[in-house]
Amino acid sequence: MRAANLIPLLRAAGPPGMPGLWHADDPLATTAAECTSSGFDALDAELPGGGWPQGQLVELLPEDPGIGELSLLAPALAAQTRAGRACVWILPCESGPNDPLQQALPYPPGLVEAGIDPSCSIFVRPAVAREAWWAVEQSLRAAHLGALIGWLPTSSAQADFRALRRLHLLAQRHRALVFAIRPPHCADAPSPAVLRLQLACDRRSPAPGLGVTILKRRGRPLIEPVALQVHPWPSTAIAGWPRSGFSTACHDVMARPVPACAAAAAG
Amino acid sequence: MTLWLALCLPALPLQLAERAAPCPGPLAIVEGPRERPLISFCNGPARAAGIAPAMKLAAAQALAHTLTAVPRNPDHERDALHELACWAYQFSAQVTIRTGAPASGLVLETGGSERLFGGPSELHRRIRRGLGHLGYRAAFGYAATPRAAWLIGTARASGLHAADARTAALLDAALAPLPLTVLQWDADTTRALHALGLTTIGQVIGLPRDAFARRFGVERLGDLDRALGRQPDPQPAFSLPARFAAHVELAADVIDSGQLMFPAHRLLRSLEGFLRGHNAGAAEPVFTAHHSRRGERTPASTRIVLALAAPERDAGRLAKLLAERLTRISLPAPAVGLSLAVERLAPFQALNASLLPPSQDSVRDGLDWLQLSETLHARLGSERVFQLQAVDDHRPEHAIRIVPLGPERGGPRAAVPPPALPPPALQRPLMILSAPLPLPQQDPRPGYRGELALIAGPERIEAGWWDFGDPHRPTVHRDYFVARNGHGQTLWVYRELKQPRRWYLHGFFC
Repeated sequence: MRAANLIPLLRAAGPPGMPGLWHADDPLATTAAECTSSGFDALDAELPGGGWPQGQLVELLPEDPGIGELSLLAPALAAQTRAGRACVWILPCESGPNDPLQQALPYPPGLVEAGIDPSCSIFVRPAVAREAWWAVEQSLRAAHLGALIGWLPTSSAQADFRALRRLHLLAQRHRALVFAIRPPHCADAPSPAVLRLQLACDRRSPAPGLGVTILKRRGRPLIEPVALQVHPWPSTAIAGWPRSGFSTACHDVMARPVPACAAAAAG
Repeated sequence: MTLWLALCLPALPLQLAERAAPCPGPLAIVEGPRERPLISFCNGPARAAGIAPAMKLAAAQALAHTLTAVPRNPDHERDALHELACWAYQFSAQVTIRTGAPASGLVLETGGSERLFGGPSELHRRIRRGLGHLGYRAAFGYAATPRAAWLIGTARASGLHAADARTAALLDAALAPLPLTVLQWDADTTRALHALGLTTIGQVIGLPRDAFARRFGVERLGDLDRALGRQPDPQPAFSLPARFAAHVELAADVIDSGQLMFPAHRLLRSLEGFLRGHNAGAAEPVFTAHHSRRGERTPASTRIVLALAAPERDAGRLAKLLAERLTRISLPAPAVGLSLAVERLAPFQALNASLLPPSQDSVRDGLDWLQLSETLHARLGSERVFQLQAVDDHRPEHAIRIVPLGPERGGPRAAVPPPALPPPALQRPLMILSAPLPLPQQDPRPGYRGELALIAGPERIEAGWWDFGDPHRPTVHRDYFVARNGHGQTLWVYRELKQPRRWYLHGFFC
């Protein structure tokens, strides 16, 4: 029976917690792995163990690249770097699809604002898919790794499964958080990851946010996506578009201190 | 108690030729005049084909047409013994090199250091295993005097049975049955003694001392006395050089760089022993693959530098790094030799294996972390493995610095002081484009994969006048906004304040 057909049945079973009645779908499976809070209470409530599992492969499948996958991971990455553990970022392959985001670099001022210490991170920009898999594997062999976040290349479903399975086994040797970010079409392919999240733009809630669908977790399936606000801005657009260049100025640049390097250059 | 160990390497030239890769076919070492070379050593398959030492090369080639003949090179033998002595220095402070006709080798004093290595049998096991890793076969001889140890070792190297003489009291009994030939006295003396019916050392020891000295010379008597411990036998001290250099001849031309791993392993083992003797590590081992001169265009050698973040001496780790480097290297011409050199030694801090499992909050600057960055760097190169730093600059594209994670910079940087600027008015994105992307414009609104809605801003950034027209660091006049499109992507866009007021995409709030 397909998972979708189960949903009405599960709904009909009513909420868990009736006295004297044990629901098989009641508790989320308790995982043997230790977990780190994701920083989002609504998501933690739905994740087995109450957070991201350590030493397990977690797969994120954003519907469109850049809809909030990094902001979703930022609190967990920040916690790792605060504890002085290293993060390795495997950036998208250079030979990958020609999307502007694939060529973008993590921005240190933004990372610092999110609480992630860039000095604790190594960034790898692989040229080809083979290098990406190799770099992931080498990083997972390091005992002191805090987190690994990798934009993994895809080829055939079978080859990907084998490669991911290998990563999953390697990940289990240590306590690192391992996040694989993969294109949305991989949702239909089998995966050894213990947790698979599909990320989509949540258009139903009044404030457009991030809708997280848990495709796979240990325990009962999740029916409704979890709506999260990963960005701080209000939903409403600011009034109108600026028409002429200088009318919308809101910060007087002369009031701001000149940076040290500029002062030296000018002096 | 002093105890001497002799390491006798029988047929050293043959061992050197087979060290880089075992030779399955017949192999012979030839020496003598160029037009009439003679076989001096040959391996098992060659002997099976009927080839024997002192045979002419032409005759040997008639017996086995697949015979590989390698000319003997005394310089290589001397260098190899020197290299081996450097390696053996880790086990003993007293190392002496011996060269001789049937066997060359080393004599080391091991009585003083055997407790350090956990007893005589453990030390013996270590030396035997170490020699095996280096690619040598050796006969071992233990005795209370260096000369006796060497005699016992030589006898064993030539296939005779001999007993160790670990105490001075056992020396007479151990040396007595050995044939006179192991003494390597000159041929006349040996022939004269044989004519007298004397064939073993024991028989010679039994002769009257005065008459023996008169007939055969005082130095012969002195030699026997030193072997038996009746006279002191000071050994020339071997001093460890400050630099390491070792070389392996490759039996066959190597075209694939991966095939260099086996000889490289031999060299790295030797380096490890040398570094242990020095109690130091190597910061920059340099491999050189020597090419045969085939043409004008091919270089004479290829240098492979292993740059390390921290001094290292473990052969296994260095081999792993080398293997990663070799995947990126293709040899311009077949290699005929491989050498390894370390010019500068660095103090080495060994990482002790911990009794307890690694602590929960292991430090990130552990050796492990360094190794990871070295491994990644060795294979991918510095342009692909880097760190990012925030820089104190208002212009967003100059607020990021890419720091290649090269070995010259050591491991990952310590935390940089946070930028001195006050927090910006708008949040900064998590990903930035190295070059802003012009957005298609439907007047006055820009679009990126659909229509954009501005949800925060503007933040005006006008900065950079202090670079005085540097074309690479121009002054910027921009209004930044946070925008969102229909796909749910949150973008960092700006509009130029100058005409023609174009819109650009600069980052992603991923």
